[in-house]
Amino acid sequence: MAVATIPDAERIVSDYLRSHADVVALATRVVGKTPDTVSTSWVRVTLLDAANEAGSRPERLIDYMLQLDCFAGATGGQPEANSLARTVRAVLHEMPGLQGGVVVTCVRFIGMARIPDTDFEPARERIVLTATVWMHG
Amino acid sequence: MGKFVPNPDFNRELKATPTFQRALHVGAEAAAAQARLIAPRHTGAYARSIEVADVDGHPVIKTTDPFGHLVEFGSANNVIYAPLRRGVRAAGLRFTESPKP
Repeated sequence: MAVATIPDAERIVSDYLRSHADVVALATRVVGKTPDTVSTSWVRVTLLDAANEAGSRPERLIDYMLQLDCFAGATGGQPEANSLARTVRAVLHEMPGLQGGVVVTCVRFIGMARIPDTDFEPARERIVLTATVWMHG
Repeated sequence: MGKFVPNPDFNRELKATPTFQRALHVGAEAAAAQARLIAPRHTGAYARSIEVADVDGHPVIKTTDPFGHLVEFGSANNVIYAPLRRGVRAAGLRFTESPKP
């Protein structure tokens, strides 16, 4: 008998964002690593932590902490990064429910900082959104 | 029969007690210790840069490393280690981001 695994939060959140009309309308990419081409905007989804929720039996309800880097394209600057981050935040706020066979029970935001990425020249505008998402299979 | 009258200043008075303040600092030190364990190690300088400071009577956990933002949040080419955020959770506390004003 195969062991039961916890939900793949990066995939669930990324698939949800990619399929949401408001994100599609921004023509942004939702990725797990920096794309090869960086001329247009992208959202990078990274799992930081996955803890058992206190009060739930172990490995049932998981408290995931995710970082969503909302990068502007080459010419979009602050307005594009801000618009992208606020849209992603609003879309995630609507996420609770059945998503990809997984039940998302709650989404909370615990950080939203403007931290331009100096790996680019000039620095690329970026909003770093930190979210906690609770989900179970 | 006595009547219970809530103290409207209870929360403020409780938070001002030395016991409460000590408990906050104990929690902050625990989170800082976890963050140092999670921090990436090459020379150990970043881990040593993590400290607990007092801001307006509240303990905060911070790094004094000038490139701390890269370690915490990553970049296009840098891994997101997030030692401060993960350290707070590893200590069993709830994380709230408080960027420098």
